[in-house]
Amino acid sequence: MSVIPELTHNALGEEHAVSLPHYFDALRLACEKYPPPFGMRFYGDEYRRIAVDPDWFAFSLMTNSAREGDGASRLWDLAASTQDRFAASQITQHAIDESRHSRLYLTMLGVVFPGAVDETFISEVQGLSPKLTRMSPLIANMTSPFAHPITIDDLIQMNIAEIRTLVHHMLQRPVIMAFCDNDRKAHLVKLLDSLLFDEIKHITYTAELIEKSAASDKGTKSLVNQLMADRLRDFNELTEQELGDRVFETT
Amino acid sequence: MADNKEAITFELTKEQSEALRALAGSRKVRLSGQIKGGKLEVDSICFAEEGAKFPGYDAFTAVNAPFKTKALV
Repeated sequence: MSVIPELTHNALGEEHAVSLPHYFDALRLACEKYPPPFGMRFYGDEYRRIAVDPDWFAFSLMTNSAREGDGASRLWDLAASTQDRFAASQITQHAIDESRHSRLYLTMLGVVFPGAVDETFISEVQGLSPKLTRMSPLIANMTSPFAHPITIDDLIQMNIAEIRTLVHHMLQRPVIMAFCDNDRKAHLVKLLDSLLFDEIKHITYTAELIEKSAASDKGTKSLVNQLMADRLRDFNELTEQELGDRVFETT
Repeated sequence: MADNKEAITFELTKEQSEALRALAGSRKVRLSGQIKGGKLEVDSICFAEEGAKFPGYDAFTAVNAPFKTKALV
């Protein structure tokens, strides 16, 4: 049995997790059918094997920054296209959080590896972040494939992706702390805690929206179960592709 | 390769902790690159371990939004 449902349950906390029975049913069934590589020992071992290289680790902080900025733009287009005001408000906040995370990864890069990147290049990378705030005009880029009202499929994809991002955070934390000079660790912990808080918040709100949908009727619950499994399978494939030629034995 | 039936762990091994401690005081990390077509390209990764196989560019990075461009439902 994959550790991912238990890890997610623990991250959300018992009090919160008990209010999400349909969501956790779907997640458990999906993980049973398609065990995610990011819940396996090999995944963590592989991360640590390469993350102890400071050059790769610094590179990873920068690519994370770029990916968070891209995710923020996708979420902004979804939020701007979603009529349901409650859902749209939560997705908007999610996009703002990711926009901030994009800059936060670069801040961590500067804290842990001062002088590793020249200011011109840092400025260029910062330009990849949409720098979203509540004051930003909530308008979708109509050429974006994400300029559509959010669907249960989108929410399930976001939820699965956020769980893997939480796993990455948990892998990253001991390594970045070890790389950091002692006199900067207190600052770094604040940055990491802020990231962790937001990742759990994002898993929680998407799980709540999935739960609400699954609880509405039996047909939708069945659809949620099916989509959770299908999208976990897709994300597992994507995870394996990202790791290049590494072979995962999932049985 | 580890048995993949085993669950992921998050702590560093003793050897990894020692390696990081040794690197912590003497590292000289330097990254350069450019933005091309709105995408980040880092071009000077000097990995310490010659000939080591590293995963692809996107490995172990955050995903926070839908990862498929066309949601079905």
